[in-house]
Amino acid sequence: MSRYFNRATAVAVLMLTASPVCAHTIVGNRVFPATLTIDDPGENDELVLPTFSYLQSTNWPSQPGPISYSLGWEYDKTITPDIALSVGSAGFTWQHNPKAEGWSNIETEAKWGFYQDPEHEFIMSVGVNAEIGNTGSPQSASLPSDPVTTITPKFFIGKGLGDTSVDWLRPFAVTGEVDYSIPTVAINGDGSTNPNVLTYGASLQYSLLYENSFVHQLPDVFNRLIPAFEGVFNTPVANIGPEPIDDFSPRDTTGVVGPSLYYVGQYFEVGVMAQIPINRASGHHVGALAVLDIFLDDIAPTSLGKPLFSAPLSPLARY
Amino acid sequence: MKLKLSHIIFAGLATLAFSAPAFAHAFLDHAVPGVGMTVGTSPAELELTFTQNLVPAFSGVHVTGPSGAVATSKPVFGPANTLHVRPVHALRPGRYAVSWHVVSVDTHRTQGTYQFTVAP
Repeated sequence: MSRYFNRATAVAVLMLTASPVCAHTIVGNRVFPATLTIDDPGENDELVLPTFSYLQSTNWPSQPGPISYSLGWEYDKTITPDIALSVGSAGFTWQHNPKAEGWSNIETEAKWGFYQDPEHEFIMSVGVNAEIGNTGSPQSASLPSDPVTTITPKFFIGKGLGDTSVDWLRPFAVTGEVDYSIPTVAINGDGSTNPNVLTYGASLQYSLLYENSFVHQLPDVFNRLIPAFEGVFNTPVANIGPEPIDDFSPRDTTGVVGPSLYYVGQYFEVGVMAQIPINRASGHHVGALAVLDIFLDDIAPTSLGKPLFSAPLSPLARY
Repeated sequence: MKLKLSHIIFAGLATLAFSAPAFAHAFLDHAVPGVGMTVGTSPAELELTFTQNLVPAFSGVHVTGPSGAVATSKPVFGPANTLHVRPVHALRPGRYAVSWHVVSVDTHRTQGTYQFTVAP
């Protein structure tokens, strides 16, 4: 029971803290940073190394639970300017109280940006993610990986408000993501179930970068920053197991929200976030997320950082 | 060998951390007169500095004011990420819009508009 609980807790924490895909995107005059709780809406050549998360979960009903620290990674490669593949993982997790550790599964994703309107800073993309079961730590590990492969269709959207006529609104932007995770095994050997989970999140960003370039010039110390408020939520929607009498309901929506801050430089982005659990089932107190995102498309624009297949860029062909 | 590797890693990170911020796309980094700023006298020239070096042949500026289009000199580039134009006549008090379009050396095109005010 204790082992089962640790595993369930670890999976819940990883669901909350994993940020499996990150990348920055430019649409028209808008830079959408790689956000921490959800993916940004575009495709790019980037190396995310590392992502960091810290969160303490709750032992039912309200006692402090295991504390988890995770270091993840991801590599994104554009195949064409609008199609990208990625491989990554929530990485290695150290858990305290009780002590345990282990590797998360490997994830791969294909993503297609099917609509871009540079003038209106608007972009939409779709993707499919596969978390491959048993590619992390073995089931004998103290913190085993999920043995079940999960397929997740995804939808992404981003809109900058630079096309509005109200100056103070123009630096704002919003992004959103909706996922539907479908485990490839519905019922485990021990009779427990693997629910289908709806994941949805959004970010509201205020780009000082945009304000500096287009609205009001700012001191250098501020003009690369993008403060934001964001959140992500997970709601089991199908194939949900029975209600336990001594644990949180498997029907509970879990999630985190919080303020974040991004610094976008020439070759990299750094982001930090305070993740606030929305309820006891989501965590016991405020945790943290951080990311270092290295822009391969800026470091090596003619080799590693360019799409595998694309026509040569013309100065007037593309933003 | 370990020490050398750590030096290389440190040098790489330091290069990343202290590089002048810019993007593959050229965005306006700062301008004189500043974006959204008010100046007390007519500026002798407008200076626009971008986050990337520019391709002069595909880069330019158009200025409009209270009386419509403002005649300016042809743009002069220098340093390679900075564009200068001089108004042919002194700017009268009022609000001016500077519309720029540039192509960065990696061939991405960007454009934008900002305003400044002359208010003696």
